[in-house]
Amino acid sequence: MSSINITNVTVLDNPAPFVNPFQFEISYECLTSLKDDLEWKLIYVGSAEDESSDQLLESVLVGPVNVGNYRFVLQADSPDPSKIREQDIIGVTVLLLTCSYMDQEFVRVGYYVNNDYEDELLREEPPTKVLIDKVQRNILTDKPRVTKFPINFHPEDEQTVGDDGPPPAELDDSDVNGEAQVLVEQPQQLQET
Amino acid sequence: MIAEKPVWVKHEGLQIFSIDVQPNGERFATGGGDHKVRIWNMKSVDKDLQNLDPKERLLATLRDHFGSVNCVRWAKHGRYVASGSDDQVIQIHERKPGSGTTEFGSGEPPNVENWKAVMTLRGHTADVVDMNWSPDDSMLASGSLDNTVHIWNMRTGLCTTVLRAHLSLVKGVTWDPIGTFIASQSDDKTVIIWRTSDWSMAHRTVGHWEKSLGSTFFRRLGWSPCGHFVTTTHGFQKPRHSAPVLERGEWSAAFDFLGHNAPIIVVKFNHSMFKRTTSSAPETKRAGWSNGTSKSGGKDLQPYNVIAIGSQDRTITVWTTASPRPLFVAKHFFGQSVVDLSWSPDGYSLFACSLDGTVAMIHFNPKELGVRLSDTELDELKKSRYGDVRGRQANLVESPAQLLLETASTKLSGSKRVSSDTQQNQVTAKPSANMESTAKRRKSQVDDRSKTAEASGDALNKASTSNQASNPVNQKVYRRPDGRKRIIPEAVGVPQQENNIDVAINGQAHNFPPASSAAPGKEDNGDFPVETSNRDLSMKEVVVRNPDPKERPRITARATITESLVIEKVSGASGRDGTLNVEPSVGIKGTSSTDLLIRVFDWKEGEAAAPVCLEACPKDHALDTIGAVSTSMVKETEISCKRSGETLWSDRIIGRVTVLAGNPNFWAVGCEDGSLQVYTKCGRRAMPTMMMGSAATFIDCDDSWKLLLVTRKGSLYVWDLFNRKCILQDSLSSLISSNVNLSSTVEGTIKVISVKLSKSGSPLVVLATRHAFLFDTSLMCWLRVADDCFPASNFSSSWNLGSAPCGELAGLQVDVRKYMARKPGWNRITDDGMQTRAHLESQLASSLALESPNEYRQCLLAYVRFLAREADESRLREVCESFLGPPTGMAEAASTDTNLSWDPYVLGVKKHKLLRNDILPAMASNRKVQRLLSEFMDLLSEYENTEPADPGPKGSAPTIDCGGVPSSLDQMDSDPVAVTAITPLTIENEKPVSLGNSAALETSITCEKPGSEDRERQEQNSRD
Repeated sequence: MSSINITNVTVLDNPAPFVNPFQFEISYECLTSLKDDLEWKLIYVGSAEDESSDQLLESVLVGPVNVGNYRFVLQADSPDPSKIREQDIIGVTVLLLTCSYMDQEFVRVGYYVNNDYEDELLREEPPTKVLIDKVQRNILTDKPRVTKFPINFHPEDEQTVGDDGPPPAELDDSDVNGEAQVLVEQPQQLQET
Repeated sequence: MIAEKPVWVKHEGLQIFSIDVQPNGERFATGGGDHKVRIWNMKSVDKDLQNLDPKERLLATLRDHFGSVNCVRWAKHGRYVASGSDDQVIQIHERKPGSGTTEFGSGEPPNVENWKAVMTLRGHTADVVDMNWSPDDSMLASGSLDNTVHIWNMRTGLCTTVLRAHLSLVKGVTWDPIGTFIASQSDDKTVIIWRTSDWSMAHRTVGHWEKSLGSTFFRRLGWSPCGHFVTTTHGFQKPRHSAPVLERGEWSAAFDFLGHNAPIIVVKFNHSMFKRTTSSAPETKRAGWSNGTSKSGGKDLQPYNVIAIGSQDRTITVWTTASPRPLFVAKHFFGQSVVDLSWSPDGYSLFACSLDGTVAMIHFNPKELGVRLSDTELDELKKSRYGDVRGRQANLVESPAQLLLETASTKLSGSKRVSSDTQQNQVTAKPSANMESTAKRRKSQVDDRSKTAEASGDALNKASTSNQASNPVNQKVYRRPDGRKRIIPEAVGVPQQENNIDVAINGQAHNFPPASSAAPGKEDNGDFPVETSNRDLSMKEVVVRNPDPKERPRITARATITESLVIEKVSGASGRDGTLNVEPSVGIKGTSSTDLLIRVFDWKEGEAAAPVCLEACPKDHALDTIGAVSTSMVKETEISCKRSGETLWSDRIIGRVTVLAGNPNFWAVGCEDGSLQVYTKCGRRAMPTMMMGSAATFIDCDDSWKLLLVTRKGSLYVWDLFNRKCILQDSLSSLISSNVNLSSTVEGTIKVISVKLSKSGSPLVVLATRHAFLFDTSLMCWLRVADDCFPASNFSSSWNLGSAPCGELAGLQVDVRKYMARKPGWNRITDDGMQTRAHLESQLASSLALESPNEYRQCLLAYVRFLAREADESRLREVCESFLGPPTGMAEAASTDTNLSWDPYVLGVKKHKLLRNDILPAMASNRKVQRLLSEFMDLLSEYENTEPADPGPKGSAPTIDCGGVPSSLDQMDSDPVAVTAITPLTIENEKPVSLGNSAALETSITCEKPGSEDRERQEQNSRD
């Protein structure tokens, strides 16, 4: 059972110029109260080929996590174009919205993002040097890809099962399903708003 | 027979591994290879084929699993559905109020019903393939590919036992309907019977499974409703596959159901047993039940079981244990193996699902299966065979309502959880220093991003920015000390206004309301020990005849130096026969100059406003004015009323002042010589000096116009000063005689600690023994409301001990107990239950007499819980009936007769509400009384149906949250206009204060902030 279910994500300010900040209004329901905060992250996939060009746009903690329905707006700066290869700026890429609890990712929402010039002429004859101010960003909001991962929201319950608790192998298993890989994004990339 | 294959029941075309019908017949659940559990509407597969709106067919899709759902099983009470999956966990789902939600990103329509996972059972280390609830729903058994059977406690969601004896995958578990055993079947080709008492293995059966070939998804065995047979699966007897049947006791294979061409995957007994009818017409069958034809019937009427068997050969057979041949064979229904079966609660419909991803329903009629035994008949049958099952399973829930009430009762009894809101407030209030607000920028605001960024440091900006957007998200953003951004999300569903308020207030203002509201409570806590220690002190001082002034915890702060009185009953020989001579135990001599000061806080003006002080300052006039003639005789006392140093009024009284009292309406000053002077608020002598005959020793007043006085001779007066009427004149003499037997003091002597008006407005006397007496103005006699008669009661020591007394009665109780605890000979006696009951009953009556609704409710709850625990049905019935009132029909007739009419309110609370919200949930704590409970629930709902809309409490009766406006104050309450006309504004704001003095001690008393209860009461007054 997931303690947290995303009930809706509304992308505000879309489409918008490339340099505008991202705004996601996230609604979620909480079925069991959690001790720790939820960590929401927004990741911009700079290049399909290279994971290192992913940019962690924002990471926020949301809490306290009590039973009920909640919503908040996640705002993040636009990606730093200097960290994206020129040829990858224009075109379709992916934006990932993830949520983790105690460093375990349990849900990930992926959006396709299309970056292109708004101007008809520029679109047909793109300049050699990307004019970043003229690029329009369009998040394809109607087709989010939601992936859920099983994590244990109440690890302490596991221990109270007592002598008949599961062997550690199972715990490892659920950890593998969880986060870790996504966390390679280093915090220094975090950009302050 | 009608067969049906609803094509719309599907799991995205993948396998359906399990199907189960809710025991109330409203829904059925399926679990499939698409990792989902789906809940379907039974109406859509009704026998009458009245198909409803297709949108109403699928009630919910539950997506909590991360693997194929192998098994879905409803609890017997139908509130929970458990699902076991390849992801090794079992989820318990429950329907929550409200409409269903959409799974974000699924693109599917929202659920019709709001089913949510409420519990996750973790512990299996491999796929969970089969489950079954215990007969009383308290446990769940699950079989898994990790070779174990887990037993789960369904109250806690924890695994209580793991049964490890199978050597291979466990693919079926079933529960004995009697509750003594469970049976599990495994790929190790054995069936194990386990005892539920100690979870030991009762029997390991090897049998016809030995020769079984091939692998099956499941080995879902079943236990017959009569408890006698266990039908197992996947047996093989050349040349056919079989379902071997074990008999109870021997646990050996008695016979087999033979005939399937492929391994049997699942067997399912019908929930009830059946019998043949002499006539197959349904009409006679119905009549037969009530006539008890079973008595006259012969062999034909022997009840039998009905069992359905599903196999890998894609067929379903239905058998009766009365016939060697199958009753019915269903072929060509499915393209792949049948994997699960379920009978409808009426016993005439069979649900089946298959790996081909489809389900089928087969509806039988009584001609085909026979006549179903009623539940009572089945119970009788089990009883005759196994003894009284009900006795062993007293915990069986018979209705979902019982469970709901049980939850309610645990909520009531549990300590109040700190609401999340409070927590949130605290969180936000704390980091007010580094709290930043990031204004929510909508599209229109994006351009001036830098501007808002600047403003983000300014918390006050929030309110304005939140107004700009039409539907802004009210969230709080701040940085944690480690620099990370943290958002406190907006709670959706909370009224918007509340959120706005939250945001508009900055950190500092935020702190204020909790602080001020917490203060009175804290002071209450702090007060009490101090107060009692004073009391302890005064007790000692009674001995040395020098008591200390002390402060009362009431609104009407009083300090009475004559802490204890010795009332001596003068014997007939010494003068006036039978009269009382009240002797204050305090030495009056040598008390010439004492300043008494009392303060009244004006609450309306806030804490800063200066209190009004009334001061009584004895002046030795022998030296100044009168001269040598009357030095020893005449003394004057100056009375002065001040506010922050400025004298409002002053007066002089001849004689020494013993008591002072005051409230916003009047001041009263009692003198040693037995005179009583009443002043108006501004210090005008409202009436001539009243002569009491002896010195006033105790004085008290309420919030409006009532004044209580006790003289040295033990006379008790209560006046209504507004109407200038005596409400009550009586004597404390009856307390003496009653006390003689109880107190250890000298015969005829009684020590009084305090006399005051209770919150309900009746005189309340506390003696030195800490026994408290309340004068009932209707009965015109004294009632003992607090005493030490029940030292052995379970409640005498636990009642509010350690916590601040929340009510009047509790305060008195604590006093009694503290006093008792000091007595050396006091020992804790174990109670036989009678004393506890009597104690609770007297508590209940006392709180009613004191008109303390909160305590009344508390006592009532404790009493009902106690009765429920003892399963004292007759008393419970009486309590419930008294709260239910006369039968509905009679209620109207009775209402014309005013004398006998039933009052639907008790202490301002609707009795039905108490019954529904408190009494019935409290009764739910013991399932032994659930019959009674459900009876009264039905009655109550009947009443509520017939009743018109709640007209609200009669008159000025308060709600339970308020301190309670005593009914004896009705005279005043009913005339609020007159009261406020005379003293506008002040009546709600000022606290009455009284002060007694007869000793040469300097006193300074501060009227403390009233408890929240008092304030509520005050508000109630003002509202009235």
